[in-house]
Formats: sequence, structure tokens, C-alpha cells
Amino acid sequence: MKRLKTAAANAIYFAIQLTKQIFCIPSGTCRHIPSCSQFARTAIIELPAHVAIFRIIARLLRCHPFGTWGYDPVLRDEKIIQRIK
Amino acid sequence: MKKETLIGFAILLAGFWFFNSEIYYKMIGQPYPFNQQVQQTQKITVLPDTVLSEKKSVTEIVIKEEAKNDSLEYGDDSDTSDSAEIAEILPAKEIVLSNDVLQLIISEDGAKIVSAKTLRYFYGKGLKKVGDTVELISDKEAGILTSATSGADLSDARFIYDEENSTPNFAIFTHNLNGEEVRKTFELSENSYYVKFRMQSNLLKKETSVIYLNAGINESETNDNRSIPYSERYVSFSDENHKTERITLKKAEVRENTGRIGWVSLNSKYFTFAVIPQDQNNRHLIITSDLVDNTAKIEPINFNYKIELAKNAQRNAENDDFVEYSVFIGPAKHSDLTQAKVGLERTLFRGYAWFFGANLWFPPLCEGVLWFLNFFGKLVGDYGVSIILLTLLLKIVTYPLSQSSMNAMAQMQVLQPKIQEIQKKYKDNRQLQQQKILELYQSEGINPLASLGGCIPLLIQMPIMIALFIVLRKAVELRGEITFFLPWVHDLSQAEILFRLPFTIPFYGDNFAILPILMAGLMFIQNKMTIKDPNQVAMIYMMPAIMLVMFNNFPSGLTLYFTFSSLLQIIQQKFFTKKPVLAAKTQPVSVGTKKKK
Repeated sequence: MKRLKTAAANAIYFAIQLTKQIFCIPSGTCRHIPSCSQFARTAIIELPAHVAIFRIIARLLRCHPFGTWGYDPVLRDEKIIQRIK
Repeated sequence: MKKETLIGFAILLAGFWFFNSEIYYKMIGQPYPFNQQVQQTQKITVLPDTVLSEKKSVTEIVIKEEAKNDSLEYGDDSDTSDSAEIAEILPAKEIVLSNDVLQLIISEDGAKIVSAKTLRYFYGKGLKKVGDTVELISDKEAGILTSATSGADLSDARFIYDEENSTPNFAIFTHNLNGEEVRKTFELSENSYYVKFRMQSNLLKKETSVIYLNAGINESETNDNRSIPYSERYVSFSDENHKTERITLKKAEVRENTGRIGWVSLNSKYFTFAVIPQDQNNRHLIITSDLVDNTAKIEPINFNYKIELAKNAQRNAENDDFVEYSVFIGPAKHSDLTQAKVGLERTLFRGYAWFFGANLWFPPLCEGVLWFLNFFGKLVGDYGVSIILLTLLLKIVTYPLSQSSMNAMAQMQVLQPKIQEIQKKYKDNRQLQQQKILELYQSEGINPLASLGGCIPLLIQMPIMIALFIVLRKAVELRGEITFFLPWVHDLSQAEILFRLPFTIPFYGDNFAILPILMAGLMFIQNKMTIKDPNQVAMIYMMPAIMLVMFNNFPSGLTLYFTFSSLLQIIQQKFFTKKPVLAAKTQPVSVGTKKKK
């Protein structure tokens, strides 16, 4: 299961990277740290799938000129951290 | 490279393979578009007869005439009857009508156009005179602008060319039907692809008149053109509410529409036949799909279309003894299509309704991109330069956004070790953690608004890039265009082929091209400059490789766009990005513009 998750996470990671490359978004213009591709990878591995997908979409929607910025890790919520522990 | 990374990459590749494989196409029930030498699998069912009414009497005439023609062709050893009649009837003359862009050949048999050649467009390598001029009529026997009235199909009836009253631009044909004269006239004006077609007869006061476009449109491109498998012929028409409908049929079938038809057109990848009624009356439109090659697979690319447009006689219109149509025969050039002022240009760039209502916003975008390319293309005389100017313009427009993002990112990257420190320190208290990070940002003088960009540069560039992709493939203006600084690229609208490899590499194809390699190289440099994260090192090598494979079969104009875009990106990164001011006092890591080895 964990392997499957890792594989899925990497696939999504590559897909996002490819999109960024195709549309000439150099890595280095992200508003957030970690960038959305890394965020997605971590989210898939660390969270249950449905939560992860929701979080990834939410994160992508936050990425606009008036959105949040700066440090925005996956495991920011204490509850989630505790649940995983 | 990590094992997980490799697995992920493999899954992506497998997915890519799967969605391009025959298995997937079988699953979704679509024809597999990549296999050109597919053997015959199914046979077409008999098409319904679409002629308006009974044509018994006419068929007899037709058969007779055919017999006559045959006997004339084969000389004296004919054993058909009515030798006296044969002497009377001369072989059907073919009249050539032409202006400087279009050459039509009209046969006396049915007074139909049996050949239409665009004198400015050539087969083979685009506009360069490699082959013959492009012939648009697919089926010479059927022809276009044949007609029927009062229940008689005049498709093969013998008309007589009125030589006295005709001019090189104007041809008159007459036929005697049941004692009434049927007169068909074709008028071609200078430098125009529009043919003025008129049918006049006293019969039309009471009877239905029908015109047919039965020949279908010819494909102008060879199989060499890689976008041909994706560019099927289609029919568009504008209905009562000036709404454009685009029709591609998946099997042999018939579509009908009754009402006020603004225009109806039959389109191939680059060329168009369009019929524009010159009156406001209601018409009955019938579109029939027809297989081009009976032995090949049934799929959209293998369909040609027949169009039939019928007009009923109007009541209380005693003087209404004619029907008039403006007929467009020529390349689907935006500037030519708009001349008719009936929205004929709406045939272009449609058919993406499934994608976020793209039929609304996508055509204007494509037209914008096309306008830009045309404007500079004409100004400079080189579409390659035009593409580069478009890239430059896009870069300038998105510059404030991308630059602020890049600056902010460079600064944030410097701070990342500190942030991680804070994160570790206040692991259990999220609020405190955020507060500390914000404090850190403030103390370092990072303005949250400095990073304007986000996905906005992507949102601006993505539609324009897709538009460029479509425009390069579909716009006849770019057909066969070359550029002076890439002398080996023979056509900007097609994939570059420097030479063909003796074997086919999966995904890559069998054509070797320089431009994609150049592009991949520049992307590699760009990635090397920007990607600092050790977890992402694989990206530096993988992404350019994937792009190289992907772009090998894309139009070289698009590859040119990307190559130049990467170049500009590198320049921007190298010379315009501010060096993080806090680099020295916080951490001794080199970020941003300096390359770390």
C-alpha cells in the first residue's frame, strides 16, 4: 500500500512538473514553499487519498495573486498530525 | 536518482503509452487514429437516397445520355441505338472560368463545376511550387452546384453553353426542361474566391429548386502531414438564430435542418466550400456523410459530405423566378471568409465545445493570435519572426508578474533553512509557528505582495499557447510558411524533418529534427539554473528529455516558440532577477542567479 502511494505520488509529481515545464513556468516562481508539486507528493503519501486530493486542489486554488503565500506545508494542521501519529 | 522517482516516472510513461494505445481506443469505442494502414473491417451500409422527389423520368434521360457519351468516346464500334441522335449531340464542352486566384472548369453536363483549382496553393510543400495547384473537387463525376427543379434532377442533363453572352468571367448555361428554359449563370469577380451562382427559370415560381454539392472536398495535404489523422472534414452551417453548428458524423447518416440557413459550408483542413443564399427564405438542408475509401476503416477522417439545399417556391411571388447563391470556393483564410459578412469565419477554430465551452472564447483567441501573426508576418514577410515577436510580447506582458515571483522566490529560498528551523522548534504549536515565520519574513523585509504571480502567468500563457498550437495546425495562412533563420525547416506548420531515420522510435517517431534538441538543451540550462532543491535534481534531466520526445512531432513553429521562450527565460533569470539582498547575512548558501555546482 505504501509503495502504491509513493508511486501515485510520484506520478502526480511528474505530471505537475511537466505541466509547469510545458507552460514555461520555471521552478522558482512559486508563491508557496513547498511548491505545489512537492506539496502534492507529500500529501498523497501522508494523507488518506480523498483528503490528499482535496488538499491538493485547495492548494492549487490558493495560488493566485491575492491568495496565500509563503510557507505552506501539508502537515500544518495539528489534528492531522496527531491523527497520523 | 531515487527508486521511487523512477517508479513514478515509469507510471507516467505507462499512462502516456496506455492512452495512446489501441487498447484504450477500443475501450472507449473510438477508432485508433495512429494506425494508417488499417485493413478493411466493415462495409458501409447503403445510404438513403437523398434526392428530393422521384426521378424516374430523369434517370432514363441520364442513361440515354451516358450511352451516347460512351459511344462517342469509343468511336464507331458502338452498337447502341439511336445513331441519329448521337450525331446531333456533341460531346459535352468544358468551359474554363478563371480569375487570378481561382480556376473553375464547368461542364455542359449538368452545368456543374467539375474542377476547382486554387492557383495560389500547391500540393506538396505548402506554397512553394513543388507540385500542381490544389484541386478541391474530389469527385469529378458528381461535381458541385448541380441542381434539380420540378422533380427533375439536372445533375447530368445536357446544358448548352451560351457562348455569345458569356465572358471569361461569366458563363451562361441553358437547358430546356418540359418546354421551359432553365438558365444557370456563374460569375467570378477579380481576385475573389466568391462565385456568384444564379439559377433562373419560370419553373421556379411554382416548383422547388435544389442545389447539390455532391462532389465532396479534396484533401489538400499528403499523409506526410502529421496532423492529417486529426483533421477530418466537417460541415458547418448557420441556423435561424445565427448560431453556428459544426457537424462531423461518425457513421454514414443523414442530418437535416429546416429554416433560414445563413450559410452552409464543407471544410477540409485548409479549404472550404461555402454556399450563402442571397435571400431570406427558408430552406431545407440535408447533409449526408459518405465514405471516401470503402476499403478503409470507418472513422471521421474517412468521411466526405454531400450537401443538399432546397428552396420551396414562395407563394405570392410571381416575379420570383430565380435563386441566387454566393459560393465560396477556396482556402479558409480568415480575411477572405469575413468578406461575405455573414459570419463564415465561424467555421474556423470550432469543435472544442467539450472543453469549458471553448467554442465561445477559443475562436476569438485564435483569431487574435492569427491576427498578430499575420500582421507581423506581412510586415516583416516572415512568419518565423512573427512567432518570435509574439513570444517577446507575451514575455513582456507577463514580465511584472513572473519577475516579482522570481525575486520573491529567490528570497524565500534563502530563508528556507531558517523556516525549517522554526518549524522544528515549534512543532506542536501551529499558531506560534506561523507567527514566527511571519515575523521572520517581516524582519527580512519580504513583502507578501511582492510575489504577485502565482499561477497567473500560467493562466495567461496557457490559452495563448493552445491557441498557437491550433492556429499553426489549422490556419491556411501558415501552410508551407518558412523562415529565413531556420533554413532547414521546410514548413512551420508541420513537424520538422531533417532526415528520416530508418527505424521508428516509440513516441519520438522516425524524423530527426534539430529544433526540439535545441529547445531541450535550453530547457536543461534553464532548469539547471532554477532547480536548487536536491529532491528535484531528477527533473533537471528528465523534463527536457520528455519535452524533446513530445515536441519532435509538434509543428516546428510551436517548437520555435518554446525554444525562444526558454532563451528569454534564461536571460530573465540571469540578468533581471535581483540577487537576494539577505543572502549574505542569513545563510552562506548561494541561490537565485548563481549556479551551485
